[in-house]
Amino acid sequence: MSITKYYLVILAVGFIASLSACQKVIDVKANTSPSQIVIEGDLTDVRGIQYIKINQSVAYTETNTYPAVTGADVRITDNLGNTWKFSETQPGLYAFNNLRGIAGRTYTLNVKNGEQSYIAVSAMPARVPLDSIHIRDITFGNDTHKIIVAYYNDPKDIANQYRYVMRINGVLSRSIYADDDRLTNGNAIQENLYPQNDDNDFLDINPGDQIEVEMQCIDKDVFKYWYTLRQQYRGGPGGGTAPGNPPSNISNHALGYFSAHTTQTKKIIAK
Amino acid sequence: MKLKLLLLLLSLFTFSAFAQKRYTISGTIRDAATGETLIGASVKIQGANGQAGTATNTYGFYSLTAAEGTYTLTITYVNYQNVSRAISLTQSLQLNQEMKPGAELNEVVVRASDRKNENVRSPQMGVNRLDMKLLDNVPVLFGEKDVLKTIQLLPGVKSGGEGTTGFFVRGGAADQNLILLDEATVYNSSHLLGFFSTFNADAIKDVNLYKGGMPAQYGGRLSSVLDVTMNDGNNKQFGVQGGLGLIASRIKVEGPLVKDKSSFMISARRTYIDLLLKASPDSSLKGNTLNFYDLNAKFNYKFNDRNTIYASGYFGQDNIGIKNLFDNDWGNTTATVRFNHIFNNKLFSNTSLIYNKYNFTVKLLRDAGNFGITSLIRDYNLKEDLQYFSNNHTIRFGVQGTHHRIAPSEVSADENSSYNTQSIENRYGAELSGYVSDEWNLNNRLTLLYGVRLSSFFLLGPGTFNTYNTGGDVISTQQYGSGKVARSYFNPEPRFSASYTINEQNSVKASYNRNTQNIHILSNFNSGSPTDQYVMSSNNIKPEIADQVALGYFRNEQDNTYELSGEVYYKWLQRQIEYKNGARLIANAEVESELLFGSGRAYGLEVYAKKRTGRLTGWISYTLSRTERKFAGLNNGNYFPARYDRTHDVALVGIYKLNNRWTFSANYIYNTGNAVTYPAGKYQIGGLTTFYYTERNANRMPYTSRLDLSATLEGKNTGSRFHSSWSFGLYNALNRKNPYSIDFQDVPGDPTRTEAVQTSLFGVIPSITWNFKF
Repeated sequence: MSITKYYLVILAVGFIASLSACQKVIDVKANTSPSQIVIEGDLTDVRGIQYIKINQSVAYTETNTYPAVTGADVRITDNLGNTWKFSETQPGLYAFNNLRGIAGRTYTLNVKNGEQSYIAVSAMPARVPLDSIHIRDITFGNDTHKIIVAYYNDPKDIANQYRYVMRINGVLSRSIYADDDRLTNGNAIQENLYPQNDDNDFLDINPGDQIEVEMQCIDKDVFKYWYTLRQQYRGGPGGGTAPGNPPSNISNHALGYFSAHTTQTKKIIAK
Repeated sequence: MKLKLLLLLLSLFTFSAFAQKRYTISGTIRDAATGETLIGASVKIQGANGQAGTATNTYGFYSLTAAEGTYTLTITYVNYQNVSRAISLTQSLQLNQEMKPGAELNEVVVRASDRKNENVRSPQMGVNRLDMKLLDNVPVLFGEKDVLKTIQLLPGVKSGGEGTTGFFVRGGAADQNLILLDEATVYNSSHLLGFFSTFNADAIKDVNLYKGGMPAQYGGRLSSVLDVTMNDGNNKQFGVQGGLGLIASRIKVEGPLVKDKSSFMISARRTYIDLLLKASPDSSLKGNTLNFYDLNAKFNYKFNDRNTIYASGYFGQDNIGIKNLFDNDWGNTTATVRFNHIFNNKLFSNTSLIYNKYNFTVKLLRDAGNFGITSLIRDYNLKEDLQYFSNNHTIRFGVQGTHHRIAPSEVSADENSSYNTQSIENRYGAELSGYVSDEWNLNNRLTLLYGVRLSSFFLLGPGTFNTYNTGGDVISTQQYGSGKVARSYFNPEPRFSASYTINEQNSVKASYNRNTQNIHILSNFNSGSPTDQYVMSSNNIKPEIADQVALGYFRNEQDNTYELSGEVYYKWLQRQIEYKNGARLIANAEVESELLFGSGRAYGLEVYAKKRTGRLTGWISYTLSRTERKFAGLNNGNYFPARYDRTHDVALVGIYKLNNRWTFSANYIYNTGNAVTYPAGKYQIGGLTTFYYTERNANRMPYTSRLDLSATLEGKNTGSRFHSSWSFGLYNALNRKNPYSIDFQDVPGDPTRTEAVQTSLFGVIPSITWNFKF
């Protein structure tokens, strides 16, 4: 439903903006906190190199370069007792070659960094086939924008959660797409994905652009993580939801997530 | 048992009446021109055998009792000519009096009350009465005069954000205000996402805001009572008035149906922002819907001096939509039927039957099939209120029963829609309460107002009720049949106020009150949104409780030209409600599993200085306050500032009447920024910069400072009935960019850095309104 909120805010702000609203960059006195460990762990069902990324957060005032956490011990085990020990291929990037996760299995990530250890559990859901993606025009007032629609059939018997990652000519659409079947269980779904640029506006799609959509089937905890992040993304102080850290499925106050998910990618060229 | 106690109390209070021959004078005070009853007019008798004084109630009724003798009766009401006459009290009298609008007092008058020295004498504290005439002169956004924006200029009342009508009283949340329109609860008092209020000033006669020491007849919300009374309608002659504004137009028609017996009033307002959107240079805004309208109507019939019936209603609707994509409509409906009966010259009764409803609809229009969500809350309410005027006592007692229905959400979808049609169980509840209070003038110096409200709440079946643990998991499920009580709560709410008059000019007052609340709003937004969800107290949600103590000093100067007051308060809040991060409030049957419960505290100092009469009138209000909340799952369980916690709030209002035609006014506000959470760190997730937060609401937005100006030009008095005036306004005259929100983001085009972007809504906004009357 947060799409509703999105529209409301756009319309309200649009109405006001037409009068005299304005935006300016301001200096703020932000707090600083010690660096926190950040773990971004993905295990997909496609055989290949699987990556676990570990680095540190930085103070708000610094540049967006995040120090790698090197020399950690990274392992994934499954509920059948198999263990895979990841090796560091680049500073902070831990990889395992020729590995895939299997739907239905539960995977546990163990990270040991010095004295500290971090544990996360994620169950890989069954894959729901992504049928196709299409471009659709929507009108917003008298303006027309292109959005991407993902088509699939949601299975009726279980609860499903999805996340999408969209790239236009290789550039990441700067939005978080996460949805579940709470209101749509068992139906033919057309998921609207709004391309967004780095200035909080529609990312325009032109003829010849290559559009790539990855659909992930994710578990409940991981969905909660992305959904919370999406609610807060660009809903800063003063508007929207009170910001807080999204509920991570990793123990010991680590930031980030560990997600065992299926992945499928479709590409189209805009006409 | 309760009745017995009540009768005993009553007999105690009336006992002294037998000691001496005493008679009662009673009646109704009305405006001579319109026949409107006058609320809060001062009635006083003075003679060799003593003196007595009172003020008229909400229906213009008064009753005074004194020893046999001759007296001078004086009736005063600001903006009206004083009435003074000799009476001989040798038997009980009925005296209905009409008052002429005053010619001698031609200035704009700001009043807290019209009873002389009321500010000093009355035991009631924490109350502000708004003069509707004042609204004509206070500058507001777009020139749309607004009750809710004007009360935000009073001490202890904070606005929810720039231009919004949401308000916060003494540390309470926006949903902790009881907003009544002719006794009916208005659940959502805002239009257009909060930029306008549902109260069309043309239709409003009287507004009282209670911030503390709530009288026992009010209950159901923790922080304040905003009691709004509609105009009855002129029962002498037919009249039309209206206005053409920048974004809205208004019209009101009123007149007698049967002269001096029956009258009606109909008032309507509609905005035409859509038309502005059509003219907007921004093409993305064209073709969208954005409007609201409202309709107030009232009718009364006076059978005789003892029996009057009133029927009033309100209907308001907002429509907001984006062509081919999205529609959101919402509105309130209220209807009140009241029957006044005067049993005898001391006992006044009012019986009310009230209906109110708030609903909203959200529609998403899609190629793949439309779907919509509707939600509503509906109440039926029956109230019996009695006022007994005795010697030194005014006793008020009554009972109230309310039936609630909440339909959290019905999702309806087209055949080919991705969405499923589904509905969430309705919830039913009943509130039953009884109250008794006594205003007792012990002697010339000490007046007490004390009482108790007994409130009970019953959560009713049919339905399936889950009980959740703190983790949000179901630990038990219970089924209840129709009308069966699933859960009940009982709360006594003591109320107490006292004033001690040091002399004519000075008094001190103290109060304590407990309030409880059984209807709660879950909101994703700052200060209310049309899609707010309502929940009742239940097996998971316990009634919210607030206890407040206040102490005040009141002073009048120069024969009531100046009123000064200082109040300090401390408020304890229990069982406050927040929702968890990532909670889904809409169309969620298990919404109660997403909640956190905690406590709060609020304290502050309010200073208020007002000049009531003269060419220059106005006031200064200052509030120093702190509001904090504490929840087990938030901020490591430590107290954190509520979002609307603002250390300093200053408002200055000045109105200068240059001559009979020109009036100039200005208001200035300053307030500390809202408490917000800035990021302490950042990291990257999924290729996007993500912020790390530590302490909740530990930062401050920049301060807000704004000057608004307005001028009113009255038309020449040509002797005809037609009268017109122009209002010119300049909102935010200094064009200061006040903060509305702050977003943190990567610098566009430079992903290596982040920046904070402040959005400001309104720069300088001129307005013009033409008003007419005939």
